[in-house]
Amino acid sequence: MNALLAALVGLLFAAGTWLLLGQRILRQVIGLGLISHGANLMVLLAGGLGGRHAPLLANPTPRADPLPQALILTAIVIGFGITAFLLALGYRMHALEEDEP
Amino acid sequence: MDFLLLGVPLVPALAAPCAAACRRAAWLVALGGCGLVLVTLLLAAPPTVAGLSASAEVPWFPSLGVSYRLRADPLGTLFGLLVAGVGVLIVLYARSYLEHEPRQPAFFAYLLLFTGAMLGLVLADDLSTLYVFWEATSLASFFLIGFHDDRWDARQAAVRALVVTVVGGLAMLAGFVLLGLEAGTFRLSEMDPHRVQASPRYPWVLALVLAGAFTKSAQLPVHFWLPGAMVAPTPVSAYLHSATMVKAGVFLLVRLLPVLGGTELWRGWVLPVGMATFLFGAVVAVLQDDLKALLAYGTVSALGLATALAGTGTELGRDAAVLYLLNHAAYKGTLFLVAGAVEHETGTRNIPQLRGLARAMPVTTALAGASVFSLVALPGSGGFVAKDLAAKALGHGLEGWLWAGAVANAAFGTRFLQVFLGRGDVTARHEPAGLWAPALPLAVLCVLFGAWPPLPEAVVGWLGADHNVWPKFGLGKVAPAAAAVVGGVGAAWLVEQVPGRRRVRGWGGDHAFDALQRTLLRFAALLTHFTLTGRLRDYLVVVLGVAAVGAGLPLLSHGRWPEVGPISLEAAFVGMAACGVAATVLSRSLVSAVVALGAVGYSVVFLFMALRAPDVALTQMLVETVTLVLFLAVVTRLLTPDVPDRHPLAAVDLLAAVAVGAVAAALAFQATVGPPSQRLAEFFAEHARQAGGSNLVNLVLVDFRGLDTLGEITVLGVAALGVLALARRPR
Amino acid sequence: MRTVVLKTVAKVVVPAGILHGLRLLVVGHDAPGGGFAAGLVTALAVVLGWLAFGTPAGHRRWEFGVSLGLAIGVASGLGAVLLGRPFLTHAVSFVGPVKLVTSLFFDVGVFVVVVSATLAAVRTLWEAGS
Repeated sequence: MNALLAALVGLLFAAGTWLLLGQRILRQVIGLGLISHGANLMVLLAGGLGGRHAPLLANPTPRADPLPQALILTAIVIGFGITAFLLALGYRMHALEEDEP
Repeated sequence: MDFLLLGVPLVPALAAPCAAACRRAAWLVALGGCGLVLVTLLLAAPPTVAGLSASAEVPWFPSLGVSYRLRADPLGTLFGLLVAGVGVLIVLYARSYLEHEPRQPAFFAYLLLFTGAMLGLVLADDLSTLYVFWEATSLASFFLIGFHDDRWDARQAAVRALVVTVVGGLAMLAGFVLLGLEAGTFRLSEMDPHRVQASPRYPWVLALVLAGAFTKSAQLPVHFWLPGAMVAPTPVSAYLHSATMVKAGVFLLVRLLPVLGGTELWRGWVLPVGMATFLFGAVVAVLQDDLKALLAYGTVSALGLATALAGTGTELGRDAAVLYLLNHAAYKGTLFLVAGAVEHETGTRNIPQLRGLARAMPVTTALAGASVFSLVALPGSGGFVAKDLAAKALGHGLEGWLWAGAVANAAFGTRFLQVFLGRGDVTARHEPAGLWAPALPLAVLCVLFGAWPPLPEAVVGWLGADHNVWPKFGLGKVAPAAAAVVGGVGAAWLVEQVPGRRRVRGWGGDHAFDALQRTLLRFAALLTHFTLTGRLRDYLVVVLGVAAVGAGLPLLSHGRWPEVGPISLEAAFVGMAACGVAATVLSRSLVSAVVALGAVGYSVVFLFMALRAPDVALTQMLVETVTLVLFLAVVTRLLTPDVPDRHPLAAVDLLAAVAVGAVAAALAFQATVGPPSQRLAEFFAEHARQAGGSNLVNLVLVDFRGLDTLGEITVLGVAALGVLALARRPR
Repeated sequence: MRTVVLKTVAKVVVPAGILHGLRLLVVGHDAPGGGFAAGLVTALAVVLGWLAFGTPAGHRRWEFGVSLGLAIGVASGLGAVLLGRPFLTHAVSFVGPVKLVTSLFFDVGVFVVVVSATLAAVRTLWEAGS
């Protein structure tokens, strides 16, 4: 299972890099999105998959490690903010290009 | 009472903004700041004579043993009195000198900043405190040298002075850190010289600290910044660049003498540099035609002698250096103020043009006479007392050099006095009291040093030594001094006859400095040209390539490789995600790429659920939805079919992508090798009761790591503001 | 876009979504939820409302919402500082079966920032794109 997830991480990173190196801003933003998925999964993997249950106190042990989950949650929201910002940036660049043909 | 001490450097610093805010009364604020400090130090001085050194501290980085710590010992108090006392006189002088200067408040603000920094420097008992104030004086000096910031030469001189002193200061910082580590403490008063000097790193400590001291005190070969600093207004030259700041280097040598001094290495490094600077400065001073340049090289020379005296490493040498510095502050301060008065009233500083000013400026002439008397060290002057002690401290081998320096001193003293003698074309208008009265106390001090034995004896006694300071006026001492003066007058006459002497300028490193600066800038431009191509793609290839190589190389040697295991439910989600990725990359249309990205996101949501991360899954799902909305909102606007999606180097991109992906996969796999640790999960579960919640992820977010979350929502907020700024329609 | 079906559905879903978001905010300390998820659910409900009934006219001060949320977050941590504890230390106490916890205020700050930032981004990019 670990190997499979690791392979998915690699795939996400490779595809994200490929898109990031392209020329179009929107595809670059998409590439960044793929890379953030990969990074999130990597953090989750690094925390170990030893937990059998969600990290709620009501659940019996072994529970999943809450720290990587909290970090990923943070990363997801920040990634959202960055995506929004990049889209606005792309829009702005586009608007400026339209103004000066 | 001891805590009052901590305020001494802060009072002038706090008065600085007040001075900047006041227009007319700025000089009064400055006077009040300096005066208050002077009175405080005068009150603090008597106990130190009895050997009671008040000290006070505020912890700064307690874990590193670093603190803001001051100590009013005899040496520090003596220099503190000098700084504050001269400061008061300079404020009074500058008021008249800068009468018509519109930026007078700023001037006094900088001056106050400097006074505070300098007081902190001399009173510091902690190496880090000393360093901070040391650099603060460099900074204040930078602003004051470049005060006339509309002039290129002023700006360049300020930059030269700053770069030289700060580079030296950085070396000194490294030396201080080493010294603190070797001594086991950063407190100057608690260092054990045997421990430091026995350390194998002692030569490094010494070399680095000396770099700071030598640059600050303008020793060869980095002396050039000091004559350059003469573009500053004359009160600054008198205060910073002759009476106080440039003495900081020698002060540091004297301060560290008990810890670092007394070794062969100390003597072998400090003494030759000091003597060479002493002779060089004196000779070059004679050749100058500019009043202030002449005094500036004279200061270089005097600092050289003081450094050499500290370089003897003996107690006698220390006392001689301090006495010499005080005496120098008195006479050179006076001379600068006189030079400023001359320039202010005649409009020039060019010696050959200036003659016969004695008639219009009698008091100024008397002041100049009294201080030159001390400069040329005639018997009965403070200079004679100081030079006599210096000769004793240096010993027999160097007396000849000392005498040669005395001849040169006498020569440039004569050239300075020439300005007042004879008849000349340039006439002074008059002689305002504001330009001579502040110099009067300094000139009186000059005379007292040589005429009233208790004064120099009290200074040396205060420092804790008991040797006899007062010279015996035998023929064997008076005759060489008189001979030096005669020789000096002759040398001055000779120099006047040399036709080519006007070409003797810039003796030193300022051209070399400028060339080095230009070369560095050109190198920087070249480097920028190669590294900053302006194309995002190039940067990304470099960044990702470095990441792949940096993480991949260790994996190759230390990594472990996966074994194929049984396939589970999660594998289905992985497959879904992989299909989504493929669709994202391969889809021709942007809209379908966006939708495919959403598919990847939802597959990841399922994965998170399967991997027992419900909070993450919930948030990811919601964010995926909002992101989709955002993409679809702009996607129609950003369809630009005419832009080529790939450039000819697509193969490089493919290579980079595959490399990054492979390394990421390998890294992710390595992270899972080894038994998963339950330590963190257990830690959070144990402490959850304290926080009162049972959703551990939420507890981590709001209770355990609340500050991180606060930072995160700040990022989100800033991103939203960025969106608003970039894309909002104008109203 | 604004079909009858959408409007009818939205009439029920929008208030329900906002209520659900507020519920997630309150239970977040003990069950899946919390300020982020709650904020996103609420924001999505509002966006659905915009889709169904159109966006209200006038200029929205999103900056104010973002700053307000940040201020609430910071303020929730300052109480502890006044009592001499580290910044952002939270207190908890039980009144019968009801749990009172100051960290809820912090999560409210997160909630407000997330709602404001999300709505700001959606609305701005939407108007820019159309």
